Amino acid sequence: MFKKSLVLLIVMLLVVTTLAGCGQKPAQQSGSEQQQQEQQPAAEAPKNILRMAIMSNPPKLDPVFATDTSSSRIIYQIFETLVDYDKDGNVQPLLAESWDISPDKKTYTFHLRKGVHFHKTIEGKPTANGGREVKADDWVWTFNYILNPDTASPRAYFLDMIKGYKDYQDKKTDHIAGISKVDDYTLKIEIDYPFAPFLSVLAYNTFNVLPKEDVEKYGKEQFNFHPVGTGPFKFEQWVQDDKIVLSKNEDYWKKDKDGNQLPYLDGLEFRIVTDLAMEWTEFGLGNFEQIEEVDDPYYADAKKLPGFQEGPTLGTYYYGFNLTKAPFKGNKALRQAFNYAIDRKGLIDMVRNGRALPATGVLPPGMMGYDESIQPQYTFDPEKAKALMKEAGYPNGLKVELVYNTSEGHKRIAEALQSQFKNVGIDVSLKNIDWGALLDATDKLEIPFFRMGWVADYPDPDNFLYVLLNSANIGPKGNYSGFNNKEFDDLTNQARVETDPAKRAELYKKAESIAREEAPWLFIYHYTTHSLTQPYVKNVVLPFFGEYSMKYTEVKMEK
Amino acid sequence: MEAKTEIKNIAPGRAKRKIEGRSLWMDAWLRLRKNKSAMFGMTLVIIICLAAIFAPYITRYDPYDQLIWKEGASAKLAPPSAAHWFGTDVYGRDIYTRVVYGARISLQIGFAATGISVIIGVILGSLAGYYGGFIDDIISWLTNVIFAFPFLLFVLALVAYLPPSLPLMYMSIGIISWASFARVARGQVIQVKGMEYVEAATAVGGGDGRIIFKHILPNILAPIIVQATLEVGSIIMLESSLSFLGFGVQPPKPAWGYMINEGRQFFLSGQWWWSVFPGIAIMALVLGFNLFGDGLRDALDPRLKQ
Repeated sequence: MFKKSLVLLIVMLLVVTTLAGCGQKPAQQSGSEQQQQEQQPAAEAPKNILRMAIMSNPPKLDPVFATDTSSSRIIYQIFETLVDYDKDGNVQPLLAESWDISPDKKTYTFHLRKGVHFHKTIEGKPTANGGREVKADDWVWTFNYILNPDTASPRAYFLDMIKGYKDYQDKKTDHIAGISKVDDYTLKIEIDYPFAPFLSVLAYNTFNVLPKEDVEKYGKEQFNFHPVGTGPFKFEQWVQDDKIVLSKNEDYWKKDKDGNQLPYLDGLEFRIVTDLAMEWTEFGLGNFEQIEEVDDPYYADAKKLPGFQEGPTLGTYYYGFNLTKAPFKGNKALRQAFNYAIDRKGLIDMVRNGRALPATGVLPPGMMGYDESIQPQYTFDPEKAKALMKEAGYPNGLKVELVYNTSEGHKRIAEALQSQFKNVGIDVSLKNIDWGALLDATDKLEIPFFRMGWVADYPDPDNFLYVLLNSANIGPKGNYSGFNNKEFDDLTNQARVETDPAKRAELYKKAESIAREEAPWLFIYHYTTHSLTQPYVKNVVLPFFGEYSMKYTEVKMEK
Repeated sequence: MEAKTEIKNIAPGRAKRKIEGRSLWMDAWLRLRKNKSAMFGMTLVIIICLAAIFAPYITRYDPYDQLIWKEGASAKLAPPSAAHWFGTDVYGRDIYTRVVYGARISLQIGFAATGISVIIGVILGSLAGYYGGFIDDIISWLTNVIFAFPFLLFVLALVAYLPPSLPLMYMSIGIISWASFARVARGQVIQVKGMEYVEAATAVGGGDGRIIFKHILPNILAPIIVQATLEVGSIIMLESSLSFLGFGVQPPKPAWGYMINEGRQFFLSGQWWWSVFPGIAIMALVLGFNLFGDGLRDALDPRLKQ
């Protein structure tokens, strides 16, 4: 009897498991659908989630510590600044409804928007702030937190013109003098000298209002994994190297023209797909509403699609020389030789489908201080490069390793340049590492020769020349080359306090000329930006600063 | 004078014995020749080997020469034509040339890594089989560990610290793929150890080294040759996967796996030739070694056939 029932039990178990196996199969076939269901256990089918493929796991979600575009992309959705930009790059109100600037241009008074609330919940749990309204005190606290030397934000120095910055950094006071509350909805910021791009700097994605309670609850380490802000989307989930899920902020302050609550979307899902061929294929299959990068092989096809937009942007793609390490240390001729060795136009036309502009200097076209006629002009001149190699002490050539971050596009460019270098006797070997690892290593100036790129944080040459090459910013602040030139420092420092635009432009032109002459970088090209969305995604605006700064507040899907 | 005649007398005898000994191999060769697929495999391998050796004479271009800088856009991703039999890649490099030069890399790694693993595997396997006991336990345990070892992780760890290069590649592949040789050698040695001629050698006072190298190894050579031939194929496959993943031979060296990976990006947009031709080359070479190895096994060990 016992034996029989045991057999029966085993048979039943087998049948059940087999059936269960059969039942699972159809569900697994539609992988993306299944994932959507996992996120939203609600009965309604969540069709209103925009799925986007991004190329790398963002290093940081805490805006205070983020310095790169893949992090900013997510931060823009969760956090908000006092002001931001319209699509032409003009400053427009965001959490500040309006502002007054004193006649001496040293005092800014911001009239804060009413009815802005911090996120009430994240990850399905109530936040420490409980969804309270943002007031001037929050801004005062936030700026004091970001600029606090103990916080050590890598971008705090963007605001070093604020009154009392130095004393606060030197720990002479416990708060920054230049930032104060006038009343609950009025904030006053005083700066030491009239700084033309000041409003633009405030739009930079580090200077978001933060809820004190949550920052203190999670602390510096954990807030990165539980970010709480005021933005149109709330943080839900971050699976490292896999995906980031954001959900709609129901209490968002903004309504559209007809009085409908924004954002229209129920959520955003960023999936990390490092392989660009995969991004393109999945987009074709309809598994993504948007992809970060259309790789060069698919550019011609993508260009024909209705959801494709493209435009120039303020940015420079370059290979940095480490001026603190051999062989580039103290060897200007060698650095110039590199710059004469490459055929930029050919590279852009052939390898990049013409999707960039040749760079022979730091500043991108469209930026104050950019001037085509600034000397020296790095043309493609292998003979000159060879002569300079001799002068540099390498008549028989030299071997050097280029470190770049993993991406087919970077690899393709590197391989093309590798062959051009070979023609002048430079033997470049290639090594690819993860983006986060590359940033870490360049922050510490560990790599002699590295790929890097820079896109504007604010549309002013200060953001390029001062940030990237002034000796005050060596290391994580942006001067990854360790460039240290007294004359250049003086010019860029002077330009910061100069108010006359014409004089500033002159100073930046001089500084640019020094940067070209000293060649701390191998200048390669200036970026263009592009975005590709499915045709049913509406209200997609290609931002002035590049696709990475896109906001989804008013984006909707009409299937 | 005496000595001379002695040699003369012995020499024909030796030659006679040699002919008899050779005839076993000759038998195998006759059996192999009848096996059509094995002959096909052998031809493939020989053709590719010859192509690799005479690469500069059968190609018109330099494998590193990026023609786009000289000839412009017409040389970029040109489809197969009379000028470029297999087409060109995005830099205008001739893919036929690169595939032919790529054979050098694959074969170098294939042979060198197999050589290393044969040496390690046969020595360890023979020791285990001959001495048995404690030594056998340790070596067998080591073999099992190696079998279970995640190879990719091992190479990943290696290239994290050492720059990827050809010697690193075959050293690392070699020291991780000897396990199958150790198993074959051990089994064969145990079998042969019990034979009368080994007992005889022991009886006349032969040392362990002499017995292993003079009496046992020559008699277990056949299965090891078979194993080695098959192993070359799988090692070439392994090298290609490593290059595909970017851990193997570094650009611009024309490794087949790396070419497939680069070309894969353009496969979807219709430029199939960049990845397909190196793919065919890998297939041909691995297939060649496998068919040849299978045929060798049948030829060298007729008992298996029955």
